[in-house]
Amino acid sequence: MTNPRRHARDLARALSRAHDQTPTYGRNHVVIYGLAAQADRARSFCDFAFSADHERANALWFCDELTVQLEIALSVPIVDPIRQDSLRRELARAQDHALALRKAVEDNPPRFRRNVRIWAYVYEIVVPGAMRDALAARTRTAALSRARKEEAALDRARSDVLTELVADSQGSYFERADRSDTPGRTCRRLVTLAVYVLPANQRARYVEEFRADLWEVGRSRRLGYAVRLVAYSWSLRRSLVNSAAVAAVTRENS
Amino acid sequence: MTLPTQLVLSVLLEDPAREVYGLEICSAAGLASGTIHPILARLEGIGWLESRWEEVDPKTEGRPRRRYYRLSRDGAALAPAALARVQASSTGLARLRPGLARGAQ
Repeated sequence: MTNPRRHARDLARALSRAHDQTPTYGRNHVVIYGLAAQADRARSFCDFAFSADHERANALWFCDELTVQLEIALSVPIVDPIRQDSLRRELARAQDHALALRKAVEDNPPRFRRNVRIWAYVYEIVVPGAMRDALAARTRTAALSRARKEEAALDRARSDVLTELVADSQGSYFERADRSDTPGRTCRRLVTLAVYVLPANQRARYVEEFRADLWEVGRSRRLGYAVRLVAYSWSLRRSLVNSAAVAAVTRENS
Repeated sequence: MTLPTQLVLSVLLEDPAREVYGLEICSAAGLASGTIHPILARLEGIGWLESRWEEVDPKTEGRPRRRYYRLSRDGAALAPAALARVQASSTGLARLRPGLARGAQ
């Protein structure tokens, strides 16, 4: 397994070179494209892992590393402001994914050992290749072509794993969520996860509020609702923290 | 002001005195779940919204109590003008979401 700190350092050097020596949009675009492609891949891993409920440690490692790389990339001035916004969004998502995965790893030790070989394929072959492309940043065509091939390979890997998991489990998460009138265990745990990132003094309120909302949602929509609560939990955290800061300033001024 | 924020305000402005809960706002605004809580928190933070717990006993009702929201006095006074300003600068928005135009009136 590659050392994430070394990768981050290499990437920082490559980004600095791209900015200082050839500060052209084209060069930077290729480097940033590589990061965006990795972010897409992290999302794919997370979607897959969320369904699978197992073997998330590698995905967590990847998301943590991606977070470091995106933070470094954002510290380098980028010509295209739209791309910079996109990277900020990717950073927020990577943090969300890492959080979700960390919690899941703690709660669910790996159970399906045979899928390890697929993870090995994804991380040992696909990911390092993407990193080499991002670091090399020679031509846009080569990077794009490589990324497309990797996306296809990853889709195949995901499809294989999902097929195995469907065969393994007694019923899909959606079916299990539909069995009862009350929100199922998975939904309740997702709500707990969604409030995990919130300021401590707000968690009790939002647990109760989210559970009340879940109660009212139709059974078939509960799981999707709960997953979206998790996806937007960082956004809610930002709102709450900013509101608290504004309130503090108002108090000081009054 | 973002489009989701405008939609949430429009729903609340339809009847400023009426209390609505999160899921109700989601449905009325046509927004995905999860998106509205950050907006509600921001609006509450700046004093445009007030919220309170539903006064029921969850055991008697057989469901958790809801969190109700409604516009505060400041919010009811300032939100229509804010929405009108945004809509004046984005004329195409009302065509895409007719509900916005109604809410701002």
